[in-house]
Amino acid sequence: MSVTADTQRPPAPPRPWTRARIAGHVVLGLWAVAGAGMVWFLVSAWDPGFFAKYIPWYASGLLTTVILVVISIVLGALLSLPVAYARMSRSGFLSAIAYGYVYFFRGTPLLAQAFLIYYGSGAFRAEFEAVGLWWFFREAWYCAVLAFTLNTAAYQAEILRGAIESVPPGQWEGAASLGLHNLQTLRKIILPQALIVALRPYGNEIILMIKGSAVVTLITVYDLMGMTRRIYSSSFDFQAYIWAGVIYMVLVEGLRYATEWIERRITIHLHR
Amino acid sequence: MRLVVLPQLIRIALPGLSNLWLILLKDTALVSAIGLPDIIRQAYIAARVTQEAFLFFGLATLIYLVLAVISSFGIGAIERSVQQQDARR
Repeated sequence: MSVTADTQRPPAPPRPWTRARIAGHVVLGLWAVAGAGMVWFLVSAWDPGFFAKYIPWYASGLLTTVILVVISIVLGALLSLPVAYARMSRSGFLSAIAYGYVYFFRGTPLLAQAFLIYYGSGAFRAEFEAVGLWWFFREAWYCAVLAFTLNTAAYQAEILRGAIESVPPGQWEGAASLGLHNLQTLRKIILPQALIVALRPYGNEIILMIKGSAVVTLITVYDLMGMTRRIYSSSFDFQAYIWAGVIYMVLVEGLRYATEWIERRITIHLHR
Repeated sequence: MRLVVLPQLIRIALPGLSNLWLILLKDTALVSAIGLPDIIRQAYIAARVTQEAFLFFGLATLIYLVLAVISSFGIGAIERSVQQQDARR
């Protein structure tokens, strides 16, 4: 079927100004006004002294946030392997334990978990001192890392399980008929396909952790949010919070682009 | 709308909506940071007064867990009621 150059498209149907369309434009206009107002506020409140004084504060907070997220994502990824394995195992006991673990950490707020570990560990001070672990639970930083690691391990185990189960069972059977044993099958056949599925959720999880990491402020770790609070209480300048928001947004946007780039790279064989 | 569109709409939208509901339920813990007397804040005050932090924060965590369990029952009920209409077809 050839399309000649003089093929005429039918004229686009007229788009009437329905009530919904007008409402949409009005709402969009309000957002634009709000955004312009924010930019105008930042421009009018521009103060070189503010930046000269507080950029090191922001930098140290940002560093704390990034280190916290990186450490807990990596440790959580390691911990999620046995959890995902137990969750998928045929043994009812193992999978029940893993399910309980995942349910607990996904069903309760991260803030409550952090409080429970940081303040709650004080109740067992004598026991922790007896086994020589008190130095760990005394520091807010270690408690934050522990809470975040346990939390993200639960989420990552679910991501991993979902991704592995999304690979059709025929792949396992085909590999078995070729004489590959289970571990080889998992590493060379299942995981490469599962990781394509898991990439987006992993990116989401890292983004959620970055935003979630703001709660460590409440257990006295000075991350980006904590430093912002200090900046606000020392400068009484509301723009402190806006700049923190901008920094978080840049972080998340960068991660989003990175995930998209990786996804383009690893699905190159699926595009034509 | 009520008998034809809504049941189909709920069937598609429910997983996303229930996810959102559970996330929001957990995010309500953050309001304690700006001083609203929610579960966490009350637990914090109780823990400070009685010096039994583990008990009260454990209790607060369990309350959230129970809320999540109740909502998942509710979501399951809605899901079944929508699916029944599907089966009756």
